[in-house]
Amino acid sequence: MIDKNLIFIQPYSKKTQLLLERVSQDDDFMIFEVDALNEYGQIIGVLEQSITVSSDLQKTKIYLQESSDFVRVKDSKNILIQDSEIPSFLLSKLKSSGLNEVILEEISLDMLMDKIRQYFEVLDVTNKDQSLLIGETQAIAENGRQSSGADEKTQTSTGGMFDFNNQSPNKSLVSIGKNESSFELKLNRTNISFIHNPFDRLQRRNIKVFTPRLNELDLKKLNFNLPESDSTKNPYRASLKVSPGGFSRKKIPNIDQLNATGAHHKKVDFPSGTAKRQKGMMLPSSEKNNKSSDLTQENFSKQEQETPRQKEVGVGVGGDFERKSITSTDRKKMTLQPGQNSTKADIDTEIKKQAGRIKNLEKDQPDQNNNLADLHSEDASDLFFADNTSEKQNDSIDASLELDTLNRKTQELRMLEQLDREETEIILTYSRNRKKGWETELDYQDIYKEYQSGRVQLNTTLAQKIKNRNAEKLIEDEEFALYDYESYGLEYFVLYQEILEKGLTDYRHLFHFCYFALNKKFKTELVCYSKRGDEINLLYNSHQEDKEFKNLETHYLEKCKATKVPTWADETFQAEKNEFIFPYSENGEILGFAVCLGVQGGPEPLVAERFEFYLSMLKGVYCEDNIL
Amino acid sequence: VKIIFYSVPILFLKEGNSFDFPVYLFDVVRKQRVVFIYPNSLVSLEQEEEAMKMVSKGAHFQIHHSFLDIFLQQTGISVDMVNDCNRLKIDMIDRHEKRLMLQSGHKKEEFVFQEVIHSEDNFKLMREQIQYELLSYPLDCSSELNCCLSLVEKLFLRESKPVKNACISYFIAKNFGMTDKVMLGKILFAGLVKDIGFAMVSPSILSQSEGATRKGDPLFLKHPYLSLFYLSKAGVDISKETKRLIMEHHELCDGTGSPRGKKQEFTHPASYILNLAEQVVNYSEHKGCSLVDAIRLFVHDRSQSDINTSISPELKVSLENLITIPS
Repeated sequence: MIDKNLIFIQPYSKKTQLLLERVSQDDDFMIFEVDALNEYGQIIGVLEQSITVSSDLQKTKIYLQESSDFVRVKDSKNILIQDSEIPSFLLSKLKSSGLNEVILEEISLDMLMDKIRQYFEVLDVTNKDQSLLIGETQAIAENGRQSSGADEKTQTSTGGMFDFNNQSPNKSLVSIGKNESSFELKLNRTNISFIHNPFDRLQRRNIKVFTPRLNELDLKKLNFNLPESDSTKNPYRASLKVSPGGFSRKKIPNIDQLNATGAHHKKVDFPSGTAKRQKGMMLPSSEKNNKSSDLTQENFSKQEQETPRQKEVGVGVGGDFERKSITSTDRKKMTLQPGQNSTKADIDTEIKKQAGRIKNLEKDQPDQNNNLADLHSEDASDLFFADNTSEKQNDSIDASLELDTLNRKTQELRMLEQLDREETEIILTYSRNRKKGWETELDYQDIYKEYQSGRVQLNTTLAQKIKNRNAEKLIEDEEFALYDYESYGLEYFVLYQEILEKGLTDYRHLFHFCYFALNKKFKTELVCYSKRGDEINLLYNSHQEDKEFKNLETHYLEKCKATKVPTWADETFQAEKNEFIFPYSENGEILGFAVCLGVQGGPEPLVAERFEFYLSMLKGVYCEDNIL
Repeated sequence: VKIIFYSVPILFLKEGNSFDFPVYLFDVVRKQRVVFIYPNSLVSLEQEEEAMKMVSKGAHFQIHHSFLDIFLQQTGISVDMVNDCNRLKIDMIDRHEKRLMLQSGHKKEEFVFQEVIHSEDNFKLMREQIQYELLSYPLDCSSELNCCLSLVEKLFLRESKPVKNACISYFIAKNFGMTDKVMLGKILFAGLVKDIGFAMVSPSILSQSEGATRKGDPLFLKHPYLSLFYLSKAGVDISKETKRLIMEHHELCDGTGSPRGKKQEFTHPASYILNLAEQVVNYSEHKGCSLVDAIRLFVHDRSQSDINTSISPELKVSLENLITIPS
């Protein structure tokens, strides 16, 4: 049975997220969530079989190129989940880089799980074949050693070199000459050359560049310390210094551990942020007490030098609260040793027990809040670090202060990153409670109302986000259209039509009706002329008795003669009283003019068009030869 | 009908201010609305300057109605100032409410067209009924419908030929099964203005009683075009359907109509209603007979020379139902 390692590279698509949730419920899988690609380079280097799932095309391209030594081997499968099909030229390029398959988002989750299981089955079969082959090879080697006697030296154990002087004629599987060939016998096909090198070039570069950041809570769950003896030998120890400068949910595997164990195929504990479920051995407690220059290590070591009061852990027994000091013996009992037959389930159970006790303490003993809050915040797994015998108590105050600062920063950063996830969770819970289904489009207005009414609890940042979304959503509210309640003067035309159809005998009525409409609307006077050749005759004058008009009549006549198109005396409409001359024409011949005098206020350009509209009412009259 | 987004003065948009409500920017030309300031975010100097600039270009700053109370509370701006900014909307809502109140307050007797048409004051009762029914028509539907309502308000006070045409068209359409207020409004509007193009025709031609002489005049035949020309000059935003009604109100089923000679399958069904109503009114006026007699003549005795025989069968049934008093 092989380890089923699944590496998820962020950011996640919807399907990837669902897959992650599904596999996290399955104990067979070990999950690694990776954000930075240099972390990926570190993880893939130490895993035996793994499937990498990514959703981001750009990141996929980069990790395939940068970790080509690891991803192109048979033990590593790479899956890209995409919304749509990617272009063929890009696909071929990615496949040449090591990509195994591109899966579309529309695939069902079950099918995706089947694919992943199939991949692991293939890997498992390959692994078994290789084991069989190695077993046979070892048998041959054993036979050869027995036959050649004690002079022949054979390197055994993993990674050793085998030299065979004699070939076994009966074995056709392996044909190895005495001096012709040698091969490195490896159970694991993972490239581990960096262990002896000590690192290969890629690893070294990544480690130099990479500055791991501390996720304090996750690190506390992490149940290992750097081995003191080996960490001092690590030439790259300085680069592993953990600083609280930023946030990362993932931790790189401890290289020192790799060196210390000396066997790459041994399972290495990863931080809980990286691997949701940890498998494999736990390092001995003695190895945790290293005194490396790592700040975090110091913090945690100092943290363990708490005062006796702080170190006491309350354990509820039979409903009564007792204080029980955790002795080093207890801790040893709780700390699982690599040699022991302990399983992951044992570790989890132990951690849960401790966490449960602390919670009970919180409930039962509110007065112990200070101590218990510390304990709670640090998580029960901190007990595994406990070894304070060699540290000074004076440093503990500074260390705890630093730790507090670190905690705050880490929590803030974590909150920011997990905001989207929290939002999704809250909203999904909300939708589920409202029986809206998972596929329902989120109604931010509704959520906002719920939040306003206090039925949904949101933190400040998330509340602000919901407010903003609500504000954007409100734009979609449709407002009633605003239309003018206006007849546009059409009633005059309808009435004019009636006058016409009644069989009119005196055309002056028509002029007068037009004047009535204009005067009512625009307070203007109307003078109409007919034109036959050069002769201009007055047809209608609304203010015949106006002496001023009589004086200016010649002036208007001259103006009319020169007018070919509708003209305003003041086209800027600034004058207090304006004049408008409107010519009537048919087939290019001007039939007459209508002059609007004393237009008050100077109409706006849009209103000025109405003058033309009203005056065009008289067009039929000008077309009437008999009348004119 | 209520105001969703209140236009507000920009007095409150000062640098450094922060509010619990979002402020929207409405572009009048593009008719687009965007969030200008999110809740609980500080107003920057750039935003303040941009706000001034946008207002000078005619944009509106608006508040969603759900935040109006918070807006008034936090900015100190009075309700009157907000109302001034939304005067047109408030007027429209007031008008609509008044119309509804008028309708509800006016207890009208049950109107049965078949009974009314037999009475002497048939057109008066019809006008009153239409005015009454139109009070419930929405004011935020279209510019054309608003224009129609306004026209009815001004023209239906007196009995004229276009008004008679519009009345008969309206009730034929209702009897024909049309219940959509928008469509009925279009028919009413088209019935009123379909012949305003006569203003461009020589009065001497119009005064001639003989239809044959009228129809010989090319300008007369084109009067639907001219009506549309006047409507476009007036600036009314008319729907395509109304334009078709006006353009086709002299088309006949057999394709012998004017101005295009379109056949039944290419003509809007409601345009036949306008045509029929006009014929009925003209016949009753010229012959001096009652409206019921004119309709009966159209239904049963179509041997008269002035009667257009090209009416769709469905319309004939509808017309017959108009004068048949229900048992």
